[in-house]
Amino acid sequence: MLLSIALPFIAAVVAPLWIKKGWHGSWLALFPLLIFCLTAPALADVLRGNERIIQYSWVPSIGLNLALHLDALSWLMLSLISGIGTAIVLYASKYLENHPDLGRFFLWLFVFMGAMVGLVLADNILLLFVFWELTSIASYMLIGFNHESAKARASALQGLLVTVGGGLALLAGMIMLGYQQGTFLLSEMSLIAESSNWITAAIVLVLLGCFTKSAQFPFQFWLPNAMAAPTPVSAYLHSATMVKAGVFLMAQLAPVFAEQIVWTTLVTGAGAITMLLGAWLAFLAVDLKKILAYTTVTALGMLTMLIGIGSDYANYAFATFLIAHALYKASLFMLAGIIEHQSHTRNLRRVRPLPRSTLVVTGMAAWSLAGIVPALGFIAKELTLKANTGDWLLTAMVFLTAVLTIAVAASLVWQPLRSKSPALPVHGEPWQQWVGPIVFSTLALLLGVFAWVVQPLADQIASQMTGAKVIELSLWYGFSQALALSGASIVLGILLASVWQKTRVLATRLRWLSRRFGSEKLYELTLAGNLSFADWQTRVLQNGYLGRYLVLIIAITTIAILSTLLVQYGWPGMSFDALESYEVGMLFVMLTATLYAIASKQRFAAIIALGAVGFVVALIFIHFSAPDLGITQVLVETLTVLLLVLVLIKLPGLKHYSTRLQRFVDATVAAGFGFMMTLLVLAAQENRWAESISHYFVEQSYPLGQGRNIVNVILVDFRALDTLGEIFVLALAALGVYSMIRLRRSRL
Amino acid sequence: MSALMAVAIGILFAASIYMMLRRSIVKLVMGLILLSNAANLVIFTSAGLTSGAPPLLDAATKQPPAGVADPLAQALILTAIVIAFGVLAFSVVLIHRANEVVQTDDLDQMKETDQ
Repeated sequence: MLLSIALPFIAAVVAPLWIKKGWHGSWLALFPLLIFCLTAPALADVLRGNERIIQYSWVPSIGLNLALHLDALSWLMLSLISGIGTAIVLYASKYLENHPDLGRFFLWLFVFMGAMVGLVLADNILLLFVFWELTSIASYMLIGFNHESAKARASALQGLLVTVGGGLALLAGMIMLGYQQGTFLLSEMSLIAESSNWITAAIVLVLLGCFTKSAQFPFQFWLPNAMAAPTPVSAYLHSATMVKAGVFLMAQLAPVFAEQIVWTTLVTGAGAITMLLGAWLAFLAVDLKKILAYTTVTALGMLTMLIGIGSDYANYAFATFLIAHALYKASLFMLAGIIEHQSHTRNLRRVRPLPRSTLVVTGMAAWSLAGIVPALGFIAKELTLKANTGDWLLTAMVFLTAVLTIAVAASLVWQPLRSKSPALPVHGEPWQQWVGPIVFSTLALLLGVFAWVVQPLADQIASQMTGAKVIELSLWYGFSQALALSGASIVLGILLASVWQKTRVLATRLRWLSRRFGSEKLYELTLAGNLSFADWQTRVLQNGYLGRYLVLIIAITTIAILSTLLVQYGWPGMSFDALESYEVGMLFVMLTATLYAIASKQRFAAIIALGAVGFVVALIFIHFSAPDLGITQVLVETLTVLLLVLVLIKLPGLKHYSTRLQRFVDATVAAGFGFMMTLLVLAAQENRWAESISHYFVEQSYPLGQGRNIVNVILVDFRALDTLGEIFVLALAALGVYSMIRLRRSRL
Repeated sequence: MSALMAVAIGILFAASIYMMLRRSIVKLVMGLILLSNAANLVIFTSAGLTSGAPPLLDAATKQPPAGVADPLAQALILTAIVIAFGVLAFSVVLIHRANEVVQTDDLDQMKETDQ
């Protein structure tokens, strides 16, 4: 299994070099083919219900292990990824032949493939998340592949923001789920019977991730825009694989959440709405790729809804439809590329008559899309209708969806047939482009007849979800409501397709409406709002005024410390006993000098006042048994006064720049900070949390340092390295001062 | 005494912050000087105020006086005083240069990087 994940990443490295050498890209299809061949033999094991589980330790401290598992659903996804991947690489090697960036294209395509393989194999949900986000990033690079087009860039960004935003919600939900379950391994999770707010929140967050990834309402808008990507990408990422990641995860988690009302309601509801909305929009669209994108939205909605229903029929419908859809949608997208090439347009209104071969294959794929006997899609639809019996609303929605989808499928074939414009000269498409569509559309049709091939896999997937009963897949379930509805939908759908051309006017009007009020508008508004908020707060906070930065920082620090101190500790005590008169006198002199320095309008008077403050500090040091400090302070203070006198004489005098209000605000903030410091010092005096380490220096000063001045011994002996650092800082400062003075001289 | 010191330190801090918030660049430097004095006093007071017992060993007995003052805090402050002076010297020359280049001592006029 590890090899399956590693192979695409190896291919991602090889591909650009391969293309650079001028060798043909078709050969790269061997990589996914090899994965397919590696996957296939595991089927026997999977069908017996043996999950294969592998674990490698990765980041054990946060429970992130490289845990992989292979069950029926991931086997199916894996073979779709590698099987369709093979066809896509072949197709792309011709479709983008001679494109200057073909190497880059293959690089990201293979990165995506590796991420997707990892995603379906991951057993650890955190690991799954890593691959999940990696697919989003690869998708971003691929949608924006044509990076010179502004529209492609915007679409790529939209897809990225929506899916990665959802991914973050998913991560939070996964972590909550992991804590609730006590394990991060999918294979060890069990059904949650009770309900709580915690679980509800986890479900909503996980679903946000799944819904954004799988383009469920109201996040469906990014998927049609993602069609700005080259056609092979649309066929691969945005129909067959990546968008299925959300559905895949929901199916994996269905056995865990199946009894939660929030889960069933949200999943079924969003799925059903998405399904109908997608079908409706697909009917309105005219761009071939947009139509296919909307039918993909429909299919994803239907899959989601089936997970939400979770009955036996629904599970079987899910499994069959998953296979059917991947097959016919991939081939339809590849056909769309061929049709565009042959008809020079993707607009279904202006499409030209197509060669017979194209029409036949398109017809086969569209047949599956419509879900008519004998396609595999038909069985899926029958089962879906059966799953819904009893709920008239869901039945009606499925029925309407079927009608619209059939209308779309019919138009896909009908429009080129009815076209009156002259056909273009046919230039044959290479076999690489035909392999995929032909194989997949044939498979989609034939698998309906030979449903027994799919049966065991569907059994396994259904039982892995919430299934209990085995249902036989068959084209004929006898006369029933489902069959009647299926028949009626075919008739209505074809009728609707016959007026397809005439409904276009209506379509244009409605599109305008959805652009005004749709969820895409909401996305744009959110984005614009975010940007202007960022702009506003940057201008307010990063205003460039030093004073305002300081006020903000100091005010917040003061409030934070003061509130913590008062709440956690309370008011520190204060006692003014045993005061000597000369001590009070010293402090009085210091504070008077300080206030004078603030208030003075004359530079020299202020400097002298500052000097007085410094000398009183020196006195305090000397009085309280710190002769060394006193000496140093006197020296430094003298130098400071000299320096200030020498330099400040060249500077302008002290001026009042601020307004009265500004000064008041500053004074309040400053007073608050001073008050906070006083309390802090008082609190510090009351408490001594740890034993002082000073006695060590006192005892060892003479034995180890051979000195009697303990402070000096500490500086030059015990903490000599610190003193070296200090000297270094001084040297740097001196260097700075010197160079600034030199700079000025050289200017002059 | 230490309670009174705490009050004095608070006033020193308030004064230094107020000066640093002024727009005149000269006042900013004065605030810086007051700030380093206040900070040194915080460490000094927190280590405990002891009078008459400096951390010096007796020449003959090699023993410290009884109830000796904390030498570690003093060593730290000594370093702080010297570093503060280095920073001060640098900033004084820097604002002198800045004033020369920008031709103003108003900090609010200095907020653009382009002249």
